Amino acid sequence: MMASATIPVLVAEVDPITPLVKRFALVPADGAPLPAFSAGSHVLVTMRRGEEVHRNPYSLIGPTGDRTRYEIAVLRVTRSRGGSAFLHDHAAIGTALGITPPMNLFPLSRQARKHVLIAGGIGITPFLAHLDELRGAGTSYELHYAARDLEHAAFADRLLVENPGKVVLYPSREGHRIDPAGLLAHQPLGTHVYVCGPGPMIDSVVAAARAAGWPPGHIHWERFTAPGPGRPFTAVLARSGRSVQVRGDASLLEALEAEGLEPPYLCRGGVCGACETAVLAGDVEHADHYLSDDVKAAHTRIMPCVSRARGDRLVLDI
Amino acid sequence: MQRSMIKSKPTYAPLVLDPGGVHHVLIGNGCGGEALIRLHRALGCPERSTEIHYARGTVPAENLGAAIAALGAEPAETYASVDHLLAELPGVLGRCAMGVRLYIAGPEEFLWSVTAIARDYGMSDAEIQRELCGPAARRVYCVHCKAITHDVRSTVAECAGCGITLFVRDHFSRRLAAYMGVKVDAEVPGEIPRPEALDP
Repeated sequence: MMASATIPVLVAEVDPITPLVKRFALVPADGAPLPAFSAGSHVLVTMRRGEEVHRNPYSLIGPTGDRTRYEIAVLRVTRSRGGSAFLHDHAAIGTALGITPPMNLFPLSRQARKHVLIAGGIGITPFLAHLDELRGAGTSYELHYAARDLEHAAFADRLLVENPGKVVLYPSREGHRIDPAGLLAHQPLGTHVYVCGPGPMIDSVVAAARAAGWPPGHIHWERFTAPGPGRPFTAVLARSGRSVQVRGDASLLEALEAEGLEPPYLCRGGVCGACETAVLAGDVEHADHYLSDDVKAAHTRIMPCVSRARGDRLVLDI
Repeated sequence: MQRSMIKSKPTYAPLVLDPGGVHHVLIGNGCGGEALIRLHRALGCPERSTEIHYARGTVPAENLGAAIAALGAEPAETYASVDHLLAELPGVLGRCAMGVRLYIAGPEEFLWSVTAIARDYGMSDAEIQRELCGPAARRVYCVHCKAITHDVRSTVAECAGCGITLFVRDHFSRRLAAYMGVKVDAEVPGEIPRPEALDP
């Protein structure tokens, strides 16, 4: 994936779903059909306003057959680097954005006889498209959806209506919590579990599934990670000798792109491996979920989309 | 013949305990009983949850039913034939929950008959092990008439369906649980190579 593979789109609809979540419908600026996509796909949305640029991943909430528009649901994150606030505050009907073609790192298994879906907060978004496909295929499934309360559980009403008897809501303010071990016990052979939500929720579901003897191929998750801010540092590009200053509020990948480079990337969230880069000098502060522990300890590789220098300087083999 | 280059040719290994599983289902036929006995000892029951299902072989020497019963495992079922076991297997798997590991031991056709039922229940390769025992005898699928010829023990065999002479290849279909057989003298009728032993 190269940074230039962008589809120009316009905002066609803005729809508040909860006090913190807005749904946006995006249509192609040139009217040509958008790429078809499978449930679980996401796109990277590029937002520009003067010098301000944000690039965030958002799941396509479906329906998957619609090539005239894509729909995303955006949670306004208070401690974000500004992408979600940008969309909430400045995106209106007619706003121009750029999106990448869809990519799917969270598909449904075609061999599963039953699907257990576990969502936390805005993690519900990929499951909206999954549920369309599951209802269409007639496969057995159940959705467990945790949110702070019903008011903030985006799409809860629609989910209950469209999937009668298959959705359980867990409002945490009322003391309801998902019990992963309880959910995963006694599931029939051929069940797959999918979890999307806050990091600790994913960790506890994955740990519970493994402890219950589920093989790794039946455990699926998607993290909505974004690079966090950090200390500024210098990235030296060994092959050209160039030095790039990485600001505290930019990721290494973003800093390289701001210099006009086009390093490969895909998820921009530290999980897919596409941006893996060799490190020749300097220690890495790893923030990814891709490299092995051995590689991380050796400081020989970095995932520029989320990781940074531990010190002042990194020398990269690019 | 470059047999080792055929990717679809299945490979088998001795059954080993998979500690990631929470319930262990041991399924064997005939000579496969020995592998089940060995594995059961390694499982260190009763700490681990297990069940055994064993079908007698077709010759008395291949009946390890008494030895299996002597393990004292609970439950341990012995069946008079493979057909009886396969008929009960859907019920066994239907009562299982996620977390099961399946260990299968016996002749090749048995390994894949059981695997096919496990696959119907959505089990994946990570949950299934197969250990082969017995002579290198193959089920051969004739690509011409589609018949299965049983108990083939060399690389050249007569098709039980249409009577042509087949060359038994190492290409294996998991769906059919059979090896590919093609007319060995299609190019020069009557020119038939000397049969060779099969690789197990």
